[in-house]
Amino acid sequence: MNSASQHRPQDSRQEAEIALGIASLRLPLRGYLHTLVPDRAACDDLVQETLLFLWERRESADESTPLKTWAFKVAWFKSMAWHRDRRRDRLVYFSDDMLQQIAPLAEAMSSTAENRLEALRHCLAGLPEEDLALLRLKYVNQGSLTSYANARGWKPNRVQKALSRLRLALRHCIRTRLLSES
Amino acid sequence: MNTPTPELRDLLDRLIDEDGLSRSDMGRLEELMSEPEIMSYCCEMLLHESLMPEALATMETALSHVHGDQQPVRSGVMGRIARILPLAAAAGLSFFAGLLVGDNPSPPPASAAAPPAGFTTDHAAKVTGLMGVVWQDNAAPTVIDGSVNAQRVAFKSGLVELTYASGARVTLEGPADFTVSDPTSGRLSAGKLVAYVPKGAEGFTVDYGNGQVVDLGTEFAMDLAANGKMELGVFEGEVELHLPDETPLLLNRSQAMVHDRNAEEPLRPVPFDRAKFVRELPNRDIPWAIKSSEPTELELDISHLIWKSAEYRAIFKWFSGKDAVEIRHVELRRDGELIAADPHPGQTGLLLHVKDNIYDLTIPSGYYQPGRWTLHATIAQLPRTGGMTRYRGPVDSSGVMVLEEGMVNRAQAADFIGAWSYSFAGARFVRRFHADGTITVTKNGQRQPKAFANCSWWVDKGVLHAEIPNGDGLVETHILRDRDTLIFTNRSFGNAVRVAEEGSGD
Repeated sequence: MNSASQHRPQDSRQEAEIALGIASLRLPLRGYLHTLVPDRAACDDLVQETLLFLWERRESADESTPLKTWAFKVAWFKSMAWHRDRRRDRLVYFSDDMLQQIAPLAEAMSSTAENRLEALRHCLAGLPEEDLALLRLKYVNQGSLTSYANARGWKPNRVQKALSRLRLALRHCIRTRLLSES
Repeated sequence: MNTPTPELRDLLDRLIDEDGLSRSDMGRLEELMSEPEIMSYCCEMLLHESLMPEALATMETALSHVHGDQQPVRSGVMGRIARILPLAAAAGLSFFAGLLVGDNPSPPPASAAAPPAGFTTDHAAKVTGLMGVVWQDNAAPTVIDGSVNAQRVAFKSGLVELTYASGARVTLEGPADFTVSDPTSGRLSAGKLVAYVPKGAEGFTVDYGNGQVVDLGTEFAMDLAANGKMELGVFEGEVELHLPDETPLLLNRSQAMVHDRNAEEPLRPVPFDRAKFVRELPNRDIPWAIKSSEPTELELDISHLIWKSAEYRAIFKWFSGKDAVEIRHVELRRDGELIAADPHPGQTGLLLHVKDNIYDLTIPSGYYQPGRWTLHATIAQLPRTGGMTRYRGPVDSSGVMVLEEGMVNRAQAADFIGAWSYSFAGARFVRRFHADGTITVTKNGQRQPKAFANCSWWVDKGVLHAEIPNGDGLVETHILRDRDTLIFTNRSFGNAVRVAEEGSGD
């Protein structure tokens, strides 16, 4: 057996471990980036770009830096680049100063993303079907909320209020559940 | 902060819904966020927003059918299962037909004996494992000739294992919908799948609507979302991804790809998230052991065996060691909270010492929640008796705790009638429970006329009792895990599997 073939299994195991490590960061990264980048589609793209960046450069990674630290640094710069390209938009997002302030908090909070996801699923399961239909329309199907309101003879802002109410209720439910678990 | 002010709530809602604010509104929001509490609140709400699509999408197919306390399967739980799976399911093919009625909120007709139109059993895959399954309406597999052939399995939660005649094995995690197309292929309509394809079965194909995955001798995983996005990953070997009008794409070990034909970039390589897939059904037998004369407090993590509210039975089986043990204070806890208890004292060891070693633990309706489920018991050495009184060696006793639900509680005498095969000390035994209450036994195909001669068997509360010849009232006891798996509850034998009466080879 030559030396190359002797090393290959070890390399492939290491690669698998790296892939697993990178994949495990998907949810925390999404939580972090969604705080820094308001656009959901853009946020998903940035998560994907960050994961791919880590994967493609896995061999040049600095072994003294934890993967998670490296990942959040990459995500931070990607979010900054996204904001730079959006400066001329009519609507604005957080200023650079504010982003600098909230980034550490968002990073810390993202470590609870898995637990919060579990809690959120549980809380959603307790909602009436009508509320779920609205949430699915907005977050999964990305359908028209105006059409949803029209179909029910509602004023458009009633849908916004319903969403706002649900956000608060879910936050309360998630916090209660996390507290009871702790 | 408990309740945001209307102003803060309005600003944050608009920031989320409109992906931004006017400069003046953003200035005001940032002013408010100078308060650490409000900054924290905003970060928390934005984090929840990021989780919403995934939380909804993963419960999408399950939610509209959720009944009572049954919750959709959670990836976190499944991830934990995937990490702790040490063993394959019980040896041989075990058919879990018995669960088909009890686990289904809308049971299929008991007489559903005929296969669906256009479906012939000669190309069927069999259901070889079920765990915590809640079927979608009218989607339970069909029972044919005592075993379970599947054309389509659609279920809201739990795990289903299908095995093709070729040996290809498909493990599905609910919510999922899978159809057996022919002896070499299937169609995934929703959910997660892991396919293990042994040598000789290469070419096994899974169609997912927008393409096909063709196996080249391997183990691979698929995750098909409700919106058609499919993630494909390779545990071992190679697979080909076939898309219409495209050259097949080869994926090797540890590679993963997302196919979303509605995306700007329909094919994207991604890191392979191995932990989110269940590769095998969890092992149901949890080992225990004591090595001390002091009572031992057992804490067994059984989270992977608890999926719903149900009447569970915990059986303490002894397998080896010099000592018999007493079992007390059996409790079922979720995240440390007591949910069920059966305080009666029991014993396990050699047959002579086994007494009341089955514990009833019921999770009442509404009490099931995902979490860390643990079984607690106090186990202590029983005083050595007879010839063992002279033995001065250290305390030594070990076995398994078997947790069952479903058929274990419902089995009737008719469910036990038939031939059951098991191995012991290198020999193959077949034990037959006859309808007239008698028992016959063969060993390596030879009839054993003295075994269970003039003995009878009967069933009480789901447990079969079999008299032992000249046993001074001793009985063997058995329970059914499912229609085709018999568990010896007071003997150190492995499980027996049902075999055909004719040509069983015994």
